[in-house]
Amino acid sequence: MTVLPGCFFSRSRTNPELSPELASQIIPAQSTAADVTELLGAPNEVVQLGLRTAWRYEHTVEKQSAAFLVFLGLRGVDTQSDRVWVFFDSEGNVTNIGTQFQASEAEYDVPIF
Amino acid sequence: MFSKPLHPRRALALVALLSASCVTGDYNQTRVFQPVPGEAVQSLEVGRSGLDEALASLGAPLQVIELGAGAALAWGWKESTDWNVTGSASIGSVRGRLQFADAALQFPGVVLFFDGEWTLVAKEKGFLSELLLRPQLPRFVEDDSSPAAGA
Repeated sequence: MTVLPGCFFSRSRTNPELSPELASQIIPAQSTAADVTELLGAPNEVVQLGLRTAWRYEHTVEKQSAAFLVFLGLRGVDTQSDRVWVFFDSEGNVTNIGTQFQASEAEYDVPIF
Repeated sequence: MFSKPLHPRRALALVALLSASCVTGDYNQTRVFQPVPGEAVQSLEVGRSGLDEALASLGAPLQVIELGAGAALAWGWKESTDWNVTGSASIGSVRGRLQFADAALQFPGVVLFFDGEWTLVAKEKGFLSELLLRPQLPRFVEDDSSPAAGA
């Protein structure tokens, strides 16, 4: 049975999805840490930058596909993420925000020579 | 053309060897995140560009690291293909196994270094494992040594 050809597809997701609409409501020099928490919830990571902080929110999608041809396995893994970094001053006010939304671009792709 | 027929005993030994051995291979294709545009990195000017411009051009970084009074922001991605070949054989009571893998473990990327005022002071391309392993500068520590009350 172990030498029979076969294939599989899998998808795994990490953390809740991030909404571009919610992220766009975070305005530098206006929004505060409380506003950000209300919109996006608890961050995945907090980085201390002297008296300032930066919060990371990330949602990751990994799509994996493979084909087994008796003695040869072909496997493709694509990992993409939505990521938001929010930077705060020492008073907890938002100073900068960086976003990218690429999780939906993860693809199933079995490699072919 | 066979000049000499294979001896039945040798043929039997060859069949036994092949049936007892196995070679398997994996061909893997990996993509993790997406490269940042080279032109966007080039457009950032050391000594002039700030955090706003960097985030607008490159999007959210993979990592943010405190570096002295400033910070390092890293963008990384990986697109690679690799082979993994495993061969094994059993001859009598002896078993052998040989494995070959050429997986690329390095993660290429771009690191931007900012000072405490969020002005770009350096930008480097390369493997993140090497760029981010540079000696860490001392952390910024606030001096709160105020005169003791009532002293």
